[in-house]
Amino acid sequence: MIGIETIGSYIPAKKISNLKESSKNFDDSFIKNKIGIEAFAIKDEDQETSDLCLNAYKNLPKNAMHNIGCIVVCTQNPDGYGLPHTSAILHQKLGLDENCAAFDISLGCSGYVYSLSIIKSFMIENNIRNGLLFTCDPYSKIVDRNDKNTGLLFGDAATVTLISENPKWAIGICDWGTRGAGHDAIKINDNNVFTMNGRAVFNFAVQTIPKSIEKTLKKNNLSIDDIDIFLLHQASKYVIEIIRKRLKVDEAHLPFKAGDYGNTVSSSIPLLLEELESDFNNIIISGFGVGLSWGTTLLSKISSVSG
Amino acid sequence: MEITFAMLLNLLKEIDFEGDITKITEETSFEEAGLDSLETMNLFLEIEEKFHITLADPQFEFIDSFGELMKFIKKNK
Repeated sequence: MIGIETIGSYIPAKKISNLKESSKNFDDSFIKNKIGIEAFAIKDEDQETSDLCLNAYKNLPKNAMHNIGCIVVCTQNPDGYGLPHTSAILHQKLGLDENCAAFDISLGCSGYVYSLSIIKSFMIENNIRNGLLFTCDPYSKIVDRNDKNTGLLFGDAATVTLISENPKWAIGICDWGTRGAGHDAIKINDNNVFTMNGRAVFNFAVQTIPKSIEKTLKKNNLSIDDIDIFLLHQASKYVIEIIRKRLKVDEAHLPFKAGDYGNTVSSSIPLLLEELESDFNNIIISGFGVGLSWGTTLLSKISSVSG
Repeated sequence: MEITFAMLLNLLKEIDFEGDITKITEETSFEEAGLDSLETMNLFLEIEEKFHITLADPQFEFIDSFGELMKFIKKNK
């Protein structure tokens, strides 16, 4: 069985506090209680996307680095101008064999769930035993820190997930979707400025994700009470709270934990997974954002998978 | 279904608005009531879902008081 064996991550040490930076626009209680992101991580200007990925790789457990047959980088903020693909640059930095496949996936906040399914299928189809899935979308490359809609939200980070035949978690049946009619709600506009329509994204997230989670539970023959924890893309504290209330689950089962590093786009779910302290059996993960796109799936601890 | 001001105030309770609802009149602005931008978005979504109305008219973005909101809802219902 192909699934998730382990996760490594890298969050830049440099942080910018929203409590100090944003006093012109918002008071501290709004930052703490609603946006929830008190500080965000930011990379050095000369650090490239592949450098952040390399640092995440260095934080993988040493025994996890063996016979890598494919690497995938999920990003919409690649190295340079996006050509060549960042995974090829990372391939060189990792010193990987020429037989190792490398490709990028262009998705934002839904990217981790999509990428898990893609790399799993690719590995099964091509009989690859070990693969690395990187997420890294450093929005510091595109965000205007003075924009009140986006300037306080996004942090830089990278993660790497080792996908192998010796997994801790199996990847279940997914629920996907795209609201293409809303594709311009999050975009880089004609003036090369990153923009977000906050209300459109809010409505999309809180209406779509509870339904997607319900569909995913049904597809995997589970009920909401079977789930030990819900790990959702960390858009903002308020979005997470409203989704949680609509699902009628408590805060311990659907946490917001990005308060000291920010919304890290496709890295937010693997960062939560890596941090998990308890040994949960059933985990729902759900990513949503740019596109407007969403992906939800079930992760089951291998010992709890029947058959 | 006739939409009343009391129904609008009740929606504020449903979104867990922590301000003093008893002090809100049709003249009160969202800012005076202490409704922040995220709570406002949530209130609008609740209105859209409960009353099957779309709050997306170009003039809608200039609405900033509960009385104006009521007028808009009644006009577009």
